[in-house]
Amino acid sequence: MKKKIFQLALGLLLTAFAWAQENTEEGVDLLKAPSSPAAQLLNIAPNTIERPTDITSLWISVNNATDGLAKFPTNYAVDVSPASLFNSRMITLKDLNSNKTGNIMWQSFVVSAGIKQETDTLTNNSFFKAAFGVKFSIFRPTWSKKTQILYDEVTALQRKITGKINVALEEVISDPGYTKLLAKRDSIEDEESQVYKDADDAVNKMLATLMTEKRNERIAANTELQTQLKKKARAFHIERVGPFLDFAGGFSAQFPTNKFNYSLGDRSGAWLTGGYDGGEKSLSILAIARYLYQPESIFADSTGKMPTNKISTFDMGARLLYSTKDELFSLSFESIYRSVLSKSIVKPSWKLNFSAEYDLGFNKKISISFGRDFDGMISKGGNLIAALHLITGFGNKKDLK
Amino acid sequence: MAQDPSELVFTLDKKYKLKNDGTDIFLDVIIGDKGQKPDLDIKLNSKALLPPGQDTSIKSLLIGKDSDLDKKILKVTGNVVDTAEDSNKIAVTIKVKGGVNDLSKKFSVTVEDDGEEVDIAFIIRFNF
Repeated sequence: MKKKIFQLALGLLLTAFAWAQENTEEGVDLLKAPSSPAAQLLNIAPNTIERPTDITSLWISVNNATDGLAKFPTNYAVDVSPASLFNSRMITLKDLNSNKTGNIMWQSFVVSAGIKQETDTLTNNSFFKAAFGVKFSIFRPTWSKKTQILYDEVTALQRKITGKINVALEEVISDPGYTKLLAKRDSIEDEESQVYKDADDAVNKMLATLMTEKRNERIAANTELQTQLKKKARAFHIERVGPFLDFAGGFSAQFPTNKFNYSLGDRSGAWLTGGYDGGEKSLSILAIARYLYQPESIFADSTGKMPTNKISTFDMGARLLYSTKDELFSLSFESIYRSVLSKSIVKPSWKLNFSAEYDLGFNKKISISFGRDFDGMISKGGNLIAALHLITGFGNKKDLK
Repeated sequence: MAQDPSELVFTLDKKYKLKNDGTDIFLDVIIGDKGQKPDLDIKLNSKALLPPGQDTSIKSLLIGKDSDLDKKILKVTGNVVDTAEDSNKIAVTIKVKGGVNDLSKKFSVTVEDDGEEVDIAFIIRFNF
């Protein structure tokens, strides 16, 4: 009996939560900026997007897609990060915590491009569509305290190792065998001669050998130091806390005659995403504004049948999630606004969900939730429904989660 | 099988010929891949050119005028640890510019263990 009551209580709780969470998962997330604006505008599957990280792989990617530059690709999308492509070797771990707008924009800047061949359903003629997009962060959250502490711990361990490497190098450069090889190299005037090159090779081989021996000795004598460094470096994961603002945008064009001198504007979109990242716990806020021209479907059109030709839409969404560190109190709020800009046949509509919960302990939780859907059908009498639940579990004092 | 330890040690000992015409000599130490963490000391003879424990790439560091550098020794020492989330490659490129010829040497290894550390010991011996 106790088990059945517990299951009933759990079921009620889950139902209440499911209602509160349902729209959260499908709502604001629907407005999120695509990972690749160009690929989305061309309806190219995300798993086929090429993401080369250096010039060589970019060239291989383009070469493969075009059969050695012999033809246009029929279904190709590429995302290129100039920072990774041309300058990645300048971006160290510390640079990823830079709060300078220039650094943030450069590190996050991604150019997205794509090309796709389609067939006109009326004439059965095939033609090309091409898209171009960009995305970047304008500002981003800084590292959390936890991340900064781990960074400082790694630094402290690295400092100890550098100190030991400095001592080792001083010992190596005063090694009799090494100084003898140095003297031999220094005695050769012509640095272009083969004799000098051989002497130079001998110096560098000896240095590498001696420093490797020193490394092995150091690791044997400082196992704990090396193990700790490896452990902390492996565990390093960037967690960010603070405000952020990202932009993504792109447009596509079609070439009905497959000639560059005749093109028609196809689709375009712009996404502005901002908010506050609270890290692993506490507060997180997300707000998205989205503009689309000739979208795949009109979000504000609940029938999904309205033609999208020359239609512009504007949608916004916001979500707030908060929980106390002890997780006794949690709160979520979500609101979405959707509209069609270029035609008045669809009225703007909005929806809102709010839920809060407090754990009273001893298997008791109090929660409140209310919401309004786009069509207002859920509302009774006004446009607000409200429900207050007090859930009590029987039996032992296990927490209801 | 464990990785050969010699792959985890980047060393260099080079003579660097100066023009002796007052040209500035510059140093780059470029660390990769994106997200790796260096810890570097840079000394000219016993004088530190930067505070110990540099944790970023070094770009266009002025070593001094070539006329002041004869017989001086530049040492770049330290280590790089694999902290990048999406790469196990550690690359270090050292460049010295302003002399008779530019010097550029790149070292690279893909570490087999996440969080592995690579030693760095570079010696540049300036001379006219």
